Amino acid sequence: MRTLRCLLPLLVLLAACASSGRGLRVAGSTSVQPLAEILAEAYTRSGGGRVSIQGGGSTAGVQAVLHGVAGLGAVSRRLAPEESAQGLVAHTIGYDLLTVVVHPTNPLAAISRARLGRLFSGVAADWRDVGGPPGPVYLVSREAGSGSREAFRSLVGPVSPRALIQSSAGAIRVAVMANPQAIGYVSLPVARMGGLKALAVDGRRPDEPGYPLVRPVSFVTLGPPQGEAAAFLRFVASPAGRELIREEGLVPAGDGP
Amino acid sequence: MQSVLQACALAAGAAVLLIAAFVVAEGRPALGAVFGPVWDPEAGAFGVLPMLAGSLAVTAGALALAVPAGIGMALFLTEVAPPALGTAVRPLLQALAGVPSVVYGFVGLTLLVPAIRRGLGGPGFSALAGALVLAVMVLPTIAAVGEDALRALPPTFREGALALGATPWQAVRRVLLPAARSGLVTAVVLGLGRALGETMAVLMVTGNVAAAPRSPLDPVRTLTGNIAMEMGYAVGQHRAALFATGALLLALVMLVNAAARRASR
Amino acid sequence: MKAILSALAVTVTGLLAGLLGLLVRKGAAFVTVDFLLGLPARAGQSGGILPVLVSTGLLVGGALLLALPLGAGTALYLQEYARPGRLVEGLRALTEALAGVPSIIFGLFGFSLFVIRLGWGWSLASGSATLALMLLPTVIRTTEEALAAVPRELREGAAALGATRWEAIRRVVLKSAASGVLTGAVLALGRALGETAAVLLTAGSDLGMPTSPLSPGRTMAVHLYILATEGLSEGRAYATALVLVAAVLAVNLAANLLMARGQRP
Repeated sequence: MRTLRCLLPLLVLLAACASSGRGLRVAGSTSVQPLAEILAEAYTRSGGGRVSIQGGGSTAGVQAVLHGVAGLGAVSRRLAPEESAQGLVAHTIGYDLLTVVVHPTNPLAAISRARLGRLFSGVAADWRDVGGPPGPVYLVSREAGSGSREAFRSLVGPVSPRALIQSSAGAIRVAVMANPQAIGYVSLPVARMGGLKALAVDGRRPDEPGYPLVRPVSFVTLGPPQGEAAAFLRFVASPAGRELIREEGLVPAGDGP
Repeated sequence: MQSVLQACALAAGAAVLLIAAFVVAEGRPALGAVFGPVWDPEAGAFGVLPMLAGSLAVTAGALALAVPAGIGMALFLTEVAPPALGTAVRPLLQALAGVPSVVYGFVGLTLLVPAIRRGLGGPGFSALAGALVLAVMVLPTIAAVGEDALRALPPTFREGALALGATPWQAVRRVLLPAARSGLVTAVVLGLGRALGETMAVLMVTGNVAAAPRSPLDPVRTLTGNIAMEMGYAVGQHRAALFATGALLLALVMLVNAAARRASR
Repeated sequence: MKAILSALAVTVTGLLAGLLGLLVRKGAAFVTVDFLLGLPARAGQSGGILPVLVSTGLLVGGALLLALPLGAGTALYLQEYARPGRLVEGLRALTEALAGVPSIIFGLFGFSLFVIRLGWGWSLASGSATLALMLLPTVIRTTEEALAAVPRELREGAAALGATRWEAIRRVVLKSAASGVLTGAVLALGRALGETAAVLLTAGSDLGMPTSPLSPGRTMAVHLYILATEGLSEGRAYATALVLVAAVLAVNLAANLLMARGQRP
């Protein structure tokens, strides 16, 4: 038993010289996570190194890159000025459609941006107020550090403090799927997982051109990208990478507005 | 050899001091701000009173259910069950205690939350859901410690009461429970400590709304849930506020444990 | 009274039976060899959980590797070497205080110290170190109890035969206390399997197969949490829960058997 204590310094040694096992760390947006995992899988299969994906939200990803804990941050919003001021560089890989989702039995099929804003700010607290059958509105939103929440705020308006908070796009989907009176917002890849109805906003469905709730999706680095991060970014911008992005429902960067 | 072992002991003892000092040091810039009534990091408000209310609501609800049930189970094992049944039931309680909290959270999320929404109204994510899940988690602790307390009583207490003409219930109520009081209080306080510190299960079923609950059906956010949700991305004053919350939580739990130790003397 | 208490006992045992039955009913069909030995696909929506099992084993194993020597050493010092007095009482109070610290606080501490400041990032190393701190009180407490149960005569006999204190401990006391110490290790293992919040904050949640102590890893509890909250696959979530609960119950059973064997003269 005492000999086990001799293994302790060995463990530390192992940790120190096994940095090759780290690979590229990508951390951040849970909205982007499904896409990031698919890109990482394809990158490794095509000869690239090992890439690990971590969630936590866009701002968590930014923090991870700033602290050197991750090589790439996945963010689903624009960088704030103070973030850019610290040397962060955003590489936009595509555009995601922020999808407003309700339970499949909800009679609502379309909504204007103004009404959506009233719903989510809490001013309209009953479905009656937006033309539906009477009943309380249960808002489901992301937490404060989420890129999706920030994008929603800049595209639609603030979220009421009485909204239910879930820590990931997938969790919002679960919450809305289980409650006929709930409404939430998720990224398009998550909305496509099924079980929900996506609302048309300002007369446009998410699969139609001109859908208003569009936000950039980026990988951020501290300073110019180097090494494995640069190689991965090159793969993402390649035709193979862009095809994968398209398959997930996003618009790859450079494909037009 | 002695010095090696002494070093181990000092390191182990230092661990909790290190953790406490670390949490307090990182939280110091925000220690004043956390005692406000509004939590809105984007607006610079870091008051955790709504989360304190959430934690207390969920914990109080859990204890209201788990204390009678737990002491009842302890009494069942000491007064009612034949020894063979006792040896069968006790491992079951232990198993209930061993089930990881995330499993309780999962079952709560898939079964309890929709059931509350359909049966009682509200969003389903609620203080009630949190209290119910916590009650199941805390019950085995109260039952086990309570049983130890009751078994420690001399058999003459029970025999004497019965000899004086008391019914079994009267013996329990007027003699055994008061005599075992310090041990039972310890059991309750240990359950309280565990409930306050629980994170995952309540995070999954309470809805995480940073506002004090006005009814059991309202969603709430606990102190632990607040830390878990926001830690990944908080910076500056926000981060300090989360550490200050941690310090507050630590102080609460230490207080509760100290009370348990005092009660068991 | 008997009727009420019996009804309560039936309800509580029914609760556990119901919980296990639910997990089996919804998850057993997914627990196949392919599930246990296969790789996950599409973020866990299909495929198996082999990397999760491997990460869990490595993380918990690493934590025990750190906690057992440190904890056993501390217990040995407190029981065999230290003279009773304020220092010993203080150390014991400190290690008990460690037991009361909520798991999220360990997560905070581990995240700030191991992940950020020491630069280990989200890794099995960060997770194991954090988990080891959480297991320390359990190991210390059970080892101390095991050592205290060793009869004085054994120690005195060894001394009479001319052994030094350490020789007496190594050759006589430890052998006698071995099963108790092992029980403590097994109990710690059970607790470690269920930890979620602290592990998520320190070991990360990457689904890949870990290749070094600095690789991130996803444990069973974390995998269940993610599958459940993100609605990726209800069947696989139940299956993971079933495997996790089965592991914990097996560990508890092993602990009980060891304790029973240790008590036989």
